[in-house]
Amino acid sequence: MAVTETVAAVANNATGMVALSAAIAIAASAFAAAWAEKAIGSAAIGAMAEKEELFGKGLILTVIPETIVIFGLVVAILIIGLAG
Amino acid sequence: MLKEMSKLRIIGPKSVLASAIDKLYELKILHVVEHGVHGLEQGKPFASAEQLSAALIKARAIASQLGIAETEDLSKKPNQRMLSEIDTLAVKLETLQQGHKAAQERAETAERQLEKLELLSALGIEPRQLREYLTLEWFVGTVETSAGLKEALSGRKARFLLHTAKNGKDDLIALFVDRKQVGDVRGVLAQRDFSSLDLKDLLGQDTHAVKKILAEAKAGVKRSEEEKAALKKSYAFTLPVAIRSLHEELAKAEAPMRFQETEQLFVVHGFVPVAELESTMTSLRKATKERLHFEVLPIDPHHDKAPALMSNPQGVKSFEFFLNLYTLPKYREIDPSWILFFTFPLLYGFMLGDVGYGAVCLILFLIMKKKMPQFAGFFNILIFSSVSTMIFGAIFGEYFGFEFYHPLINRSPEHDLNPLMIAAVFAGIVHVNAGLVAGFINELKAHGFKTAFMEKFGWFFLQGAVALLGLSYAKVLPISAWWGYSLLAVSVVVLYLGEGARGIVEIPGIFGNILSYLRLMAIGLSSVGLALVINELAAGFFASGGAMIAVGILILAAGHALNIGIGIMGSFLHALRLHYVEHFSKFYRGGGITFKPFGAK
Repeated sequence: MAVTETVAAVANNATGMVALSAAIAIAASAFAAAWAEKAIGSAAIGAMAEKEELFGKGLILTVIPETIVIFGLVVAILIIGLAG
Repeated sequence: MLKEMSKLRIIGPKSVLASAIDKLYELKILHVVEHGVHGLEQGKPFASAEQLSAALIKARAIASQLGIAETEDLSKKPNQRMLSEIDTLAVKLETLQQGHKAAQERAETAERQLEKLELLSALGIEPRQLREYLTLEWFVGTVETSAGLKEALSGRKARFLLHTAKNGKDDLIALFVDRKQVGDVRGVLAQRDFSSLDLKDLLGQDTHAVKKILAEAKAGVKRSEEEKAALKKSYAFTLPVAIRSLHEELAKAEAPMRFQETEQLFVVHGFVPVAELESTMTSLRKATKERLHFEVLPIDPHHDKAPALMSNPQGVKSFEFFLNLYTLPKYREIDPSWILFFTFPLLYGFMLGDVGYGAVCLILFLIMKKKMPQFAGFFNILIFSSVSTMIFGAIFGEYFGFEFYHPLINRSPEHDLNPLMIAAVFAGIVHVNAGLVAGFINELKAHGFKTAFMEKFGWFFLQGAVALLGLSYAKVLPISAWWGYSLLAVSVVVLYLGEGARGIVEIPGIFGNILSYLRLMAIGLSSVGLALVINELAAGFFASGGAMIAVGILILAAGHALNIGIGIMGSFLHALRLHYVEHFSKFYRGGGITFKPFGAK
C-alpha cells in the first residue's frame, strides 16, 4: 500500500516526477554500462592472464561502455533543466 | 620525440668479423635486423658457440645447485682461471652430490634397521636367534591381536615358543614352532591377519654395529654439506661473473646468425640513431683497421621495420609510461608523450580539483617517490597531476569541500552548474580536435597532403556544420540554416572520400567522443558531493561538543582519506581513458618496435 501511496504522491507532484525521470535516466544507463563492462572486463582479464602486455588494450575496451552513463547523466541534467 | 634513425649496411671481410662484433657489442647502439639482402645466406655462428653454450648450461647448473644468484653487475672482469675451472668444478660437485646421496641412503638404511632391532629387543630376542634351524621355523611380525593366540596354538597341540610385545597399536609376536607343525600354525596366524617383518637385512647385525654405521653415515652427510657450503662461499663472487661473461661470449659467438654472409664477406643490416651514426662508424673503422665498408640506406616507410626510440626531456619522459603500457609509437609517428605531459595533468586536475586534496596528494606522492625510486617516473606523473589539482581547486574555490570565496567556475550543487558543463564540453572539443590535428600531421608525413586533408578535414567541417546549424537555429548568428546544411553535405562527402563507409558510420561517434568529456564534470561532482556529506556529518558532531568533537575529527580524517583515495583512482583512470579512447583514436596507430641494440640486455 505504502508504495502505491508514494507513487501517487509523486505523480501529483511535478517536481517529484522530474526527479524520478532523472533518476531513471541515470539508473538505467548505469545498469547498462555495468552489464556491458562485466562481460568485457572478465574477458580482458582472461586475455591478460595469457599475455600481460594486453593491460593497456584491455583497459580501453573495458572502459568504453562507461560513456553510456555519461550520456545518462547528460539526459538527467537536461530533464532537470527543461523541467526547470 | 622519436629519435631519427639511419639504416646502416656494414660489409666487411670475415677476417675482421670477430673484432667488429666485439666493438658492436661494446657500443650497444646498432639495432640489428635480419634478412637485409634478399638471396644472401644467413651467417653461421662461430665454432666456439656450441662449447660456450655447453659451458654456460653447466655453470648455470652449478650455480643453481650451490644456490648462487646470477648477477647483472658489469663492473667485475671475469677470472680466466674460473672459466677453465668450470669443468673440474662440475665434476667435483657431481662427486660431492653422489657422496652426499650415498651417505644419506646409508643413514636411512641404518635408521630402518635400528627401528627393527628395537622391535626385536622389545620382544626379548636377538637377531642372531633368527637364523635357519633344522627343526624349527620362526615367524616374526604383527597380528591383529595376540590375545588368545597361545590358547589357539595349544588347542592344535603345537609345540611352540611365543614372545609378544606391543608396538603402538600393533601387536608384535615372535613365534618359534616345530617344523612339522608349520602348516597348522600358518592357518592359525592367517586367521589373525599375520604380516611378517622383513628381517633379512638384520642377519648378523647387532645394535652396536648398526649405531656405528649410522653415526658414520650422518657424519658423511654433514661433511659433504659442509664441503658444498665451502664451495658456495669460494665461488659466490667468481661464478656469477663467469656466467655473465659466458653469456656475453655466447651472444657474440651467435651474433653472425643474425647477419648474412658470402664465402668471404659478412653483411650486417641495422638501425642506428642518426646522432650516433658518425661516431659508430668511426669507432667500428678503428676497431677493424679501416676494413669495413658502410652504406647508409634510405628508410622505406612501408617495408623497413625501423625501431622507435623515444627521447624526451626529464619531465616528459615520465609520460612515456603510458605508451609503454599501451603500445609504442611507430617510427615517424608523433610521439604523444609531449601531449600527455600537458593534457593528462589538466584533465586529472579538472576532475579532482580541490586545493586541500591536491596538497595532500602532492606530499604523499613526493614521499612515495623518495621511498620507491624505482617507480619515480610513475610518481612524477602523479606529482604533476597533484599540482594541477591544486590549480583547478583554486579555480573551483574548493578546500576539502569548503568554499571560501565565490569560485571562478562553480562545482558546488548550490549554484548553477551550466558553466562547468560548458567548460567540460569545451575541453572535449579542444582535446578531440588536437587529436585530429595530430592525426593530420601524421597522415601528412606518411601519405601526403591530399590523404591527410580527406581523412581529417571532414571531421573539422562536420563540427563546423553542426556549430553553424546550432547558432543559426538559436538565432545567435543572423544567417540562413542552409549554410550549415551545405557545410554538412560537404563534410559528409569529404568523409566518405577520405575514410570510406567507415567515416559515415562514425559520424555520431565524434559527438559521442566530445560529450564523453562530460565525465570531467560528473566525476568532479561526485567527489564534491562526498566531501560535502563528510563535512556536514562532522559538523553535526562538532555542534554536540565534548567527546563528540573527537568523533567529528575522526569522521573528517577517515572520510576525506577515503574520498581522496577514490578521487585519485577515478581521476587517473578516466584521464587515461580520455586519452586512450577519445584522443588517441584520432591519430595514434602505435605498434612500434622497441629499440633493442645488439649487446643490450
